[in-house]
Amino acid sequence: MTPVLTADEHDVIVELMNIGVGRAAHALSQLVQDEVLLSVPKLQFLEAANAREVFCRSMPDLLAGVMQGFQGFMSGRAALLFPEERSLELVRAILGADMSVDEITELEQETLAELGNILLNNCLATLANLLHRKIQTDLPQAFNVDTPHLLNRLSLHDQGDGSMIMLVQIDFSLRASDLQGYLAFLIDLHSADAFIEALRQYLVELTS
Amino acid sequence: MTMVIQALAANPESLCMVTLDHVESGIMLLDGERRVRFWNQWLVRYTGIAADTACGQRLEQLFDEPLPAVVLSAIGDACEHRLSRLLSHQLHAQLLPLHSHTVSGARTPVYHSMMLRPLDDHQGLTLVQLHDTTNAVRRERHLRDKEQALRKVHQTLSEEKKVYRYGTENHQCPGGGDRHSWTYRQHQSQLRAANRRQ
Repeated sequence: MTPVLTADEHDVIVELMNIGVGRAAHALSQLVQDEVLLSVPKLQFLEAANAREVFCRSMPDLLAGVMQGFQGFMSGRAALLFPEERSLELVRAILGADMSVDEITELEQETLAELGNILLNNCLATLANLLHRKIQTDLPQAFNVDTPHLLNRLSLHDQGDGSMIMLVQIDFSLRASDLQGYLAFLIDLHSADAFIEALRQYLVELTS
Repeated sequence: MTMVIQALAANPESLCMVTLDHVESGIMLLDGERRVRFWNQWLVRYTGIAADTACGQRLEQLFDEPLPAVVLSAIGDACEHRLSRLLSHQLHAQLLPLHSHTVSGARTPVYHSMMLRPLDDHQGLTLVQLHDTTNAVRRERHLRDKEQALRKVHQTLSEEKKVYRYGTENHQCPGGGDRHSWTYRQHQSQLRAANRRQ
């Protein structure tokens, strides 16, 4: 079930994600030795039933990505997707290798997993810290999947009324290398109520 | 031997510790204060540090050389903030100073990746795993070198083909003979040069 959020709550999530992404950008800049610029995230909530159709419509047939579980005040799985050929430019900039999605080797899979780990940890930890909550993350797993099976691969199912899928899209560019593309985060929350409660409390604290 | 197994089976915790001690990967446990609580035989072999010496110490106190900042930061993330971290070999050429010894006694580096995972409900313990990637690193280097050599040969042959086409339209083949045997000689010469460079 897609949660009903007020405009303020929606803006707060975008802002929190923006702060997390900003921290991730700093860590990535050090890795690529170039300034990584990330756009303000675009946020969208999806119902599990419609998510497959949205992914198939907006993404290529084959995807590379990294997923990571998390538990704490909220639990679920987060995934970083490289939804198009240009997205892998960031990986190429880090690895210095020329490759396509299906040419990623064993060691490059591991590097891709670390890249996802940095981005996902920064976003999830920032969300938890700013909401004054605790969160624990699992180890990242890199994967390749054909888009229609993305939800199965991530085990992103409708877990009942308490579940929601948050899709966050971010454009990136590298200042010196003239590279650009976009990344997508999927956060599957099995405990959306706890997340929204923490969000509302944060808003109350902000305004009081 | 059967009695030993029976004794271990009667105490699952001991059995787990014995098993972890003999796993062919580096396994250590760190507590909330980043001190080593477990150090397996793989680590003893590749660090030269005994388990008794390691236990109770912080990782940075165990080695003569300072550890990379990324390792200390990952330990902080895992032990204090409960965030799992993966440090890959390709992004971090050296994590811990691990070495193996060849038959002649020479020390060679052990390339590895590192995974840190906080354990649930276990007094703030963090599991650290080190995976030996030495063979994978060597294999990929070898394949990349071969690929680059082949690309160069291919590029040179393509350029020569253009020159040859131009030449046959205007001149005779160098050294005489027909154009096929001249191209073949050039091809063989390029392959020999590429092999010598390997």
